[in-house]
Amino acid sequence: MKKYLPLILILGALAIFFLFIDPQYEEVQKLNRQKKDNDTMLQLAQDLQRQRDLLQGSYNSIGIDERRELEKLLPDTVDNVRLVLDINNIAEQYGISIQNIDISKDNPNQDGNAKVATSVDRTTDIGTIRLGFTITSTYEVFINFMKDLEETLRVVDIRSLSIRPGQSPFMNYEVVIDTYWLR
Amino acid sequence: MEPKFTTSFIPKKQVAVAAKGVAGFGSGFSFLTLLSGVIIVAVALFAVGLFLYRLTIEQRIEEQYVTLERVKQSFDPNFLSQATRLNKRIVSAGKILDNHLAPSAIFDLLEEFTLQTISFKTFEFSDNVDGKIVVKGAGEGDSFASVVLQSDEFGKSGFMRDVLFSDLQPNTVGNVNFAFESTLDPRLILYSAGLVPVSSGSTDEPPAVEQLDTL
Repeated sequence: MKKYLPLILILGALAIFFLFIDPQYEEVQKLNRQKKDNDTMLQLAQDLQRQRDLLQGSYNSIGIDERRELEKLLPDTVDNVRLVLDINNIAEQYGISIQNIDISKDNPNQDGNAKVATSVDRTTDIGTIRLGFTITSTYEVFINFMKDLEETLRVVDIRSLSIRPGQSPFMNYEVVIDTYWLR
Repeated sequence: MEPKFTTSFIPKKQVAVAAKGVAGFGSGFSFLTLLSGVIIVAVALFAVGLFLYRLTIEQRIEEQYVTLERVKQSFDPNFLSQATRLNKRIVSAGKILDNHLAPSAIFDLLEEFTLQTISFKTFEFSDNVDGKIVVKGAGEGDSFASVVLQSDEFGKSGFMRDVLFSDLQPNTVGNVNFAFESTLDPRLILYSAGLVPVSSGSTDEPPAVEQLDTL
């Protein structure tokens, strides 16, 4: 028996190696890779936390009033009724009224006569609504109305304008505007 | 008769066997046993060490998961959503304002560059026709010369391009009717930049009045 003891011990050592150490080593390597990945993720998480803190600071630096103004400038919805109301309010300041407001949903690409249309620029998340209306007023009043329209908080871009003679001293102004919302 | 009293409790024969065993310790068999014993002990120790190391790594990974979970919870999805939306709004608003047009400036310039002897009856403005703004209209002047001078004024103004006067016809009251068409660069009437006249590219051309005189 003693004669085979070294052989038995060597076989035992080999058994320990192949049955325990080798699979354990594989497992440890796997765990080490996992640990390394987690270290990377933790580093990223710390970077993200720093970014989040910076973002929080920037966010807090924008006051509630400023955020409201931004929402007015670029609302979350089309809100065309409010738009018409806003434009009408500007017109009323000059004693004029907007007429022939077309709120149809026709697409101007399909029907060039449509006065209102919506579209969305997928690359910028900006939705555009096109609205047409007419006004009858004197030239001076219309110019002042247009300047107010250009400076209104909800951005309005005049896309086309047609002036035709009316009953003197009034003229007829056909206006097509674009305004925007954030998708 | 052999004496019953023994001088040593160690049997002589056993001592001999033991002595034989000690003498065999230095043989090849004993060395192999020792070597294999050292190997198996080393392997066993390595196995234990590896096992403990594995436990340590597992514990560390567990701690990492806890930390990651804590970090994840520290991010308020609601705030992130609001901040993302606000950022999108600011960027989009910036783009819109960069392209915001102030066409009233066209009228300021028309007033500046229109002669007293000219009056416009109709006017049209349309944006983004092949990337340009097209303005056209019709009116009357007190004479052909006034209309030609008006053409010169528009040409020299710097904000109108490709000015074309057409349909010049005397009317019943002795004035001259005309139609005109021109293009504008949208950048000229950007709200952010204001209306900036550009140098006319046709300065080498003689004024339209001179052209008329040579006819």
